[in-house]
Amino acid sequence: MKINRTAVIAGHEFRGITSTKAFVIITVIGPFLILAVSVLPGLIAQRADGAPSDARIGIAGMDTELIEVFQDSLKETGFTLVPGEDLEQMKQMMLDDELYGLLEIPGDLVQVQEFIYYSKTGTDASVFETLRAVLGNMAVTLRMEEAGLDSRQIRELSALPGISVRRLSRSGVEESRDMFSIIVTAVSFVMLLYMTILLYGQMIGRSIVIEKTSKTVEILLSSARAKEIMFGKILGIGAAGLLQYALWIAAGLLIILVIGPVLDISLPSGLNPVTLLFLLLFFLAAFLLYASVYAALGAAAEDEQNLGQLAWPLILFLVIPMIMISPIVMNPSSGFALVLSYFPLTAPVVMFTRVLVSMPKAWELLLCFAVLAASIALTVRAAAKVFRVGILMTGKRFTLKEIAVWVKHDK
Amino acid sequence: MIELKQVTKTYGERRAVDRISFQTREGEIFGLLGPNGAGKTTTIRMIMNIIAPDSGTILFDGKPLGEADKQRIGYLPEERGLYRKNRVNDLLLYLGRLKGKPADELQRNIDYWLDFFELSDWKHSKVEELSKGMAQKVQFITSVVHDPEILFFDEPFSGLDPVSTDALRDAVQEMAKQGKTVLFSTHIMEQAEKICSRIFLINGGREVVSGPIDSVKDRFGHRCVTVEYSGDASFVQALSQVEDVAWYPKYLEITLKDNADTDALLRELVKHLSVRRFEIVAPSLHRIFVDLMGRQRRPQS
Repeated sequence: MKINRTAVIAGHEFRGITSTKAFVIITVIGPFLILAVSVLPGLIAQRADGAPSDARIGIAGMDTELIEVFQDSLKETGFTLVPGEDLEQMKQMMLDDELYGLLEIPGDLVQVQEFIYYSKTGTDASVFETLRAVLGNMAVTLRMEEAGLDSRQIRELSALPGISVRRLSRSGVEESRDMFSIIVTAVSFVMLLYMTILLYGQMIGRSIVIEKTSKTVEILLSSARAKEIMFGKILGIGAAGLLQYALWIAAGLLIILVIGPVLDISLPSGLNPVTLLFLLLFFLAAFLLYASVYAALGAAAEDEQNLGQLAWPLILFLVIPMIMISPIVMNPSSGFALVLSYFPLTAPVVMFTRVLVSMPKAWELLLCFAVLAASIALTVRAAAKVFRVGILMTGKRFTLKEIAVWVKHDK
Repeated sequence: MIELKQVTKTYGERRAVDRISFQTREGEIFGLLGPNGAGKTTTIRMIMNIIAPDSGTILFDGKPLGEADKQRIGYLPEERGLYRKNRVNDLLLYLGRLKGKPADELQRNIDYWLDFFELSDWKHSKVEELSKGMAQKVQFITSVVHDPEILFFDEPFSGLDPVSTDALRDAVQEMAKQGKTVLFSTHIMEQAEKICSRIFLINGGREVVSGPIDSVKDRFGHRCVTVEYSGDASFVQALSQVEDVAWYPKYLEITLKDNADTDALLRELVKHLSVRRFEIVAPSLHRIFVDLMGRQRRPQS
């Protein structure tokens, strides 16, 4: 009976992974991560840096009349002003947590050069920036009044023009985008990509090195070719990865198409069917690339510890774009980002980051996938050679240099 | 039928297998014997097409071995290992499927063999829950689950208790009777002596001796005499008929010189000792093995 042994091995690996608790847990948690990714940025942006909305601020050295005006101007912030005379007593109240902060006006508001704000942390910038802006505005208004301007003139003269940030995308749609939300979305998605590449790559390497350490490889080799074993493993584990991604993307689409509109949540523009498609494509490309290298290293390694040592340089290429994600997001067309987006080992993560921030031109994407496809073809062939030699080598640890020689001299 | 002609394999400087030739026939148990590191496993791996020989040919029914032939072979490697997380039945089905057999046929064989080794209760247990001996039996089943025509057993009895060893030996002999070819590799000569019809003794990658077990014994074995006695037997070593003496607490084993007169020896012994038993025995394969290995080692050192 003719049988596809690669498929039998792939099926065994697939069942082996998908039946583990870890797989189920990660698969279930995944959509929640995506949900968090899509909702959190909006929530966080609303509450900028988490200033308490009902903060009680002590105030010393200000006329009751002015305090009323000041309190009126603070209406939108929710801050309550607590007037007092004795500064020392108020400091004590603050230490007893009766006051959130304390503002001291040393002298006449019209002439004062500097207010003093007592803070417990010194870092509650949103509070003191708000106070500074409102109080500063009051001081300037008072000065203008003294200079003889009426209130209408003052309003006109002191009105600051605002700034509206719009993002021009290739599709021509103008959308207002919050930088913070873009970064959070990009980092979350890229993190997901990075984690899954690492997870599934290492899974391949481990699965193969375990065949060696548990001495089962010879049984497999008595039934199948080395190549069939390698591809069976890659395809089986890859199929498990794809299944996981398919479930996540289904969950993502559910959020975009159903949950979002029904609950009327404004979703970050990074979460749309197109980016999900690219996420899948880049995962697939990165998986095939990393999986074949991991397969070769797994076959060459003596044990799991040795595999870890051999795989170090590989992980480095995954980590570099993660460390550099901030500059890449800020400036996706920098020379550095461009180079990394075409270098095979970093391309999936970096190009995907670019897709999230600012969609690259079609030819750039095509070039990137062409580079990846060519690299995968080369790597798989080299990996198959290393695999065939390495899988029967036991009792000795090899360096990457020695392993590289197998590719050249394999008969 | 498997036929090796002048097969050679070199690892770096070391010749693991050096110009080896032999044939195995259907229905026989062929013993590939030798000490550890002699080249047995390398030879079997080449026959299995796991590694390629540097030179020489390996024929399988007169043709070079192809990938499809792997399905006709069952292999029990010396280095035992199973997937610890798998359940026994799933594991056996998986390895059988890799050999290209349909699941229903495999299941019949699996049930037969689990029953044979009294492992049916463990069918759905994980491998890691099995004792070492049970895992050994499961390992053996992996090599026969697809009912192969040709069987390679590398040290099949290691780790088995005496009852299982006997059961397995009967099973192996039964397979040979059914016309299967059994290639059996071991360094334990007592086992080989019990079941092999022909042997091939290998050391340092080279053939030391080969042929039907009886003719090997005739050619290389010195006759031995076992004597149970009381008294001082230290004079025995100096007797003219004696080649070598092995001393044991209750008896001694005398290796005779070629054409030694055993009647004369007995007369010499009874002069000085009270002899309770005097038995002329055929040489054991073990003895021949040790002798031949020793003979090989001497010129080298």
